[in-house]
Amino acid sequence: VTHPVYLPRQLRDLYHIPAGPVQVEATCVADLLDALDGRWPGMAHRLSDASRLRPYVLFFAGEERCDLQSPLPPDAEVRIVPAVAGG
Amino acid sequence: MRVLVLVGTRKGGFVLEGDQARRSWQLRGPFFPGWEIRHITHDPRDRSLYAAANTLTYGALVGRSADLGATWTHSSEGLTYGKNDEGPKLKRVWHLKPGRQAGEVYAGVEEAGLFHSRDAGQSWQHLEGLRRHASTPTWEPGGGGLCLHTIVPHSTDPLRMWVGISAAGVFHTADGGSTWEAQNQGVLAPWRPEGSVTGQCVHKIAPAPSGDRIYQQNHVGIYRTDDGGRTWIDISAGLPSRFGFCMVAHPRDAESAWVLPLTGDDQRFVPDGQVAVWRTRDAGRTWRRTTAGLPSNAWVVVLRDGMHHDALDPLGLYFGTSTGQLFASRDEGESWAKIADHLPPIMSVAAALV
Repeated sequence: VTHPVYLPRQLRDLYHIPAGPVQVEATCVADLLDALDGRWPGMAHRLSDASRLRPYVLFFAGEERCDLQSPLPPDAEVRIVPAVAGG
Repeated sequence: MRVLVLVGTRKGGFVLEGDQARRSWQLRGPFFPGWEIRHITHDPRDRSLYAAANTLTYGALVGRSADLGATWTHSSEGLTYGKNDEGPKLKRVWHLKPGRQAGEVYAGVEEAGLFHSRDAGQSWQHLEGLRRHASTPTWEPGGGGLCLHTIVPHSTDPLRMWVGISAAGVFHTADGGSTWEAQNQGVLAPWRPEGSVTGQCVHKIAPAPSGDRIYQQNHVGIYRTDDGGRTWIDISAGLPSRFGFCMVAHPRDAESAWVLPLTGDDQRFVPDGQVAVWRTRDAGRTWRRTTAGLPSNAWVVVLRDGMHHDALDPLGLYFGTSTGQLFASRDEGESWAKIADHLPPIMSVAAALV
């Protein structure tokens, strides 16, 4: 199943990805990270470390917050949102 | 020939490019905008730049530029302590140092450890010997975190290297990194039991051009070793403060070094609001203050990687403040001029000739 995935700007800038969603085939968040990493090497490590999502990275499938093991509903848009912190 | 001043800031990296006369400067950047750039270094063998880039959100990576900062690649493959939940976490890359072989780079990180790349930063391996030191469980963070912030390969012996860890002290390997010895004898650590071998809060070590002489700016004093770190001599006398972060050694004159003292350690700005650089020409026996071209009523801080030198003659010196001003001297620190302003807080400065 292909999902539209909205990446945060800082990651799009890092990988020179244009604005707008990218289309990614995945059935769960862990699959999604693997797929992102396959297209943009290293991206999985930007979003997770030591088998966990990084603490300031939030994943939403539709309106549901996800963790690394969460399945992705077939029609879900995925939004990856950085927490707002710092100055 | 051009001079590059590589400036790492809290919000990205910048390059100031100057002519050989060091009178005209052009600012480029930011690269990695929004990323905290703790250090940028130049590898003269292939003219590449390496940048230590960090964010709270996306972790730490090392960037590499093969075109002097115009474009960058990046990687953090292997820059991790692994999946042990009880083990240390790699929070930031603090410092980068090219090794002896082509494509070889070292990275000092927080939580303190040493990583190594043999493929120009595409992948990294943890050099585990350092964290096997018996003192590791007792290491405590300094104000900036428990960071390995300085890497000093020996000038001729490929097996020897020193690292500085805040606040664990100076460590030395003589076998290429398999085993390490703490080298802090003579360095105060008033927060530790008297005679502690580790726990010293080294802020910066700067090697003299040859032999086993190294200068050190510590949390509680300025020191020099002439025996490769086995013993340290207090050379703070004559300075207005024992506290400061940065220290630069002359690359051709083992007797010369510079510091920028701060009122320590609960204020941490320049004494009396007068920015001043102090130089010794006799290995720390005496110090001379220079303020020419430097501002007063300026309550600034220069951090541990905030001062560096080029390789021209006379030597050029550069320092950046945590309020975004960059100063340069074309005459070995006798006079100074501001060459950039309104940058984000400056965390590191490094100069290179290209």
